[in-house]
Amino acid sequence: MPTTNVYFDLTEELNGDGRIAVLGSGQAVVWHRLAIMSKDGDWILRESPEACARALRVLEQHGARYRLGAPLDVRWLEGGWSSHLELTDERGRRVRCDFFTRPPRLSRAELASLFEDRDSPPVVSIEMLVRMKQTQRAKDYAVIGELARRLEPELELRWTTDPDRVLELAPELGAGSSRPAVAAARTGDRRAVVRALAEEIDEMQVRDRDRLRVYEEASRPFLATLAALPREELRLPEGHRRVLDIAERLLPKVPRGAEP
Amino acid sequence: MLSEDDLNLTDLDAEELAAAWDLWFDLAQATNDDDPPYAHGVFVELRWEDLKPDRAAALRSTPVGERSR
Repeated sequence: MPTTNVYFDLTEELNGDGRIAVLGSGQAVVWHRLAIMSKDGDWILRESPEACARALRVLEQHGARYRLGAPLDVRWLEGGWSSHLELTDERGRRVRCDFFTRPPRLSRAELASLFEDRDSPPVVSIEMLVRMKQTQRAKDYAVIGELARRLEPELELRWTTDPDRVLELAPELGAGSSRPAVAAARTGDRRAVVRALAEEIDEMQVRDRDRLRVYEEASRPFLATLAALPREELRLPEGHRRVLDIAERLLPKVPRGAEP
Repeated sequence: MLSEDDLNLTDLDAEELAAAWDLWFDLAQATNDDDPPYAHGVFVELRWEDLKPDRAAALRSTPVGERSR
């Protein structure tokens, strides 16, 4: 039997009755052949009750159970929450499956487009991936630099975190850029480019951390209650009902201060 | 952070890419117990100590209306 990527296989299964799931983050990096870097899978799910039901059915067939997270239910997903499940594959390996419908920094139109073109691969584009990677984690910015190399030079200059690439591209292509690092590169001041990039990255990390803090604070009682349950009670299909019941009582659908 | 070897995946066909990833995934299972609880989503900053059940009682006492709209 040929070896396959379990997350690519799950994507195919999820989309078996029509496009409802698009791979993002680490597995998208693998798909785009940039690096082999993620042992988890995360999907942008079409924001509909039918898509949630389909995903739950597929995961149930694989014996999945919930990890601690929001219910896979459109009422919470449209508030920006994420759902987290886990299964064990036939070789005993842990397969973690994360779902959301409102990934940060992607517009509603971009999200809709992911589900319209059924001939395109079920994976976010490199440019979308760059924005999804603008997280609180320092390691993601090295990945952004490498992802940006795959883009056309104008787009690379817009997104790259690599000072050498900014210095190389800015003189010819940077006239209209609003990035301080590009402006600095056009004066040839390398140290200023490095400083500007560091400040830009820090601002993005702080912004993302602030966004996450809203969810973290709003979820504490809910997660603590879920954490007290035996893991077996979180197995599908019953696990979904348990998570929903607790979420109805303890998890606000849209946390105060959130901008899903 | 990413070496040239890491980046040299474009020459692989789909089967070779899957085989490379599969081998890596096998090896990566060794660190399962040390992985942070989340790699994606809105809980990604949480750590295992934030999720311990013994915190439940204290946390449950916070009325949900004070945190949500």
